[in-house]
Amino acid sequence: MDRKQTRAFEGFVTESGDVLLRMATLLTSDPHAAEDVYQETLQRLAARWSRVVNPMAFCRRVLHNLVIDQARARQRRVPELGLFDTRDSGDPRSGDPLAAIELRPALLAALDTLTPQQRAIVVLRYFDDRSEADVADLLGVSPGTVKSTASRAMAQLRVQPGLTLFCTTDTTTR
Amino acid sequence: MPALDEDILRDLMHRCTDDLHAPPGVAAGIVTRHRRRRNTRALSVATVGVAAGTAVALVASGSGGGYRAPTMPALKLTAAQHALDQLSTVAASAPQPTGRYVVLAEKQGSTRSGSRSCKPCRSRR
Repeated sequence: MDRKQTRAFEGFVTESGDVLLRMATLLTSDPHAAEDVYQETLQRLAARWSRVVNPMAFCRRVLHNLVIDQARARQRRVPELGLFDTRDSGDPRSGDPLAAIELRPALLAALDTLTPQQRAIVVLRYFDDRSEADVADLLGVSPGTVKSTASRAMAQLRVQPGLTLFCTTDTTTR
Repeated sequence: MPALDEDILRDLMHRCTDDLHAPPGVAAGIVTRHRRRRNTRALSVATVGVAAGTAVALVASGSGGGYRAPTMPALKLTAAQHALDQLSTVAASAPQPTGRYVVLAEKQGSTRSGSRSCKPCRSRR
């Protein structure tokens, strides 16, 4: 990677780093695992920077693959007892840290009830605003599968009590 | 109470992650790590190449000439050793001597008159 490519890579990370980290957090539920996945994604991107045409699409695919790999590895491992809840992190740079800290555990717990595939589709469809065709292309499934999986995931999320509470709060404040 | 629809989920996801920011300087760190990893890989490839080349060269040189005794360093001889060396070389190259030596054997009844061996001793006394 020469100097020009390095500058372009750093520009991409500055521009898209936050979105990638947020996607990783939504996909993994764990800020530490999300940072690991995020950095590994960027590492792989840096190794292929001169050959990658669409860096964002490459990162989405790598993020998804890494998260799926982690989920499979977690299934094989004996479950560990958590010493403390790592989901809440008060970031001083946050605009509204309290709202995010209140909401995040509920949303991540609700997302934890989905399968990795459902979760990836929900995040790509509703957080990253990708079209069904884009998501289908990225995950290597048909658009019909994306649509039905998203529909099933939404039905699953609707019955989560934590999220229902936030939906109620939203209507009262509006 | 409204059901969770796509717009609400979208809004919740954005609100939930709005406070997350990528650590600054991560790109520079990744570029540095990538360079270091690439350099290490290049070094290891070069090392393996050199080792393989040396092994191939050794095998090729060994297969052409068969076994070769290790060369000894030249010895420095003193004048006396040199003379001895020359003498031994001449002696080694000379034909095997035949008939120059007398084989002595003890004979039975050596007190006979014809025996010469005892006479000089007696005459000296």
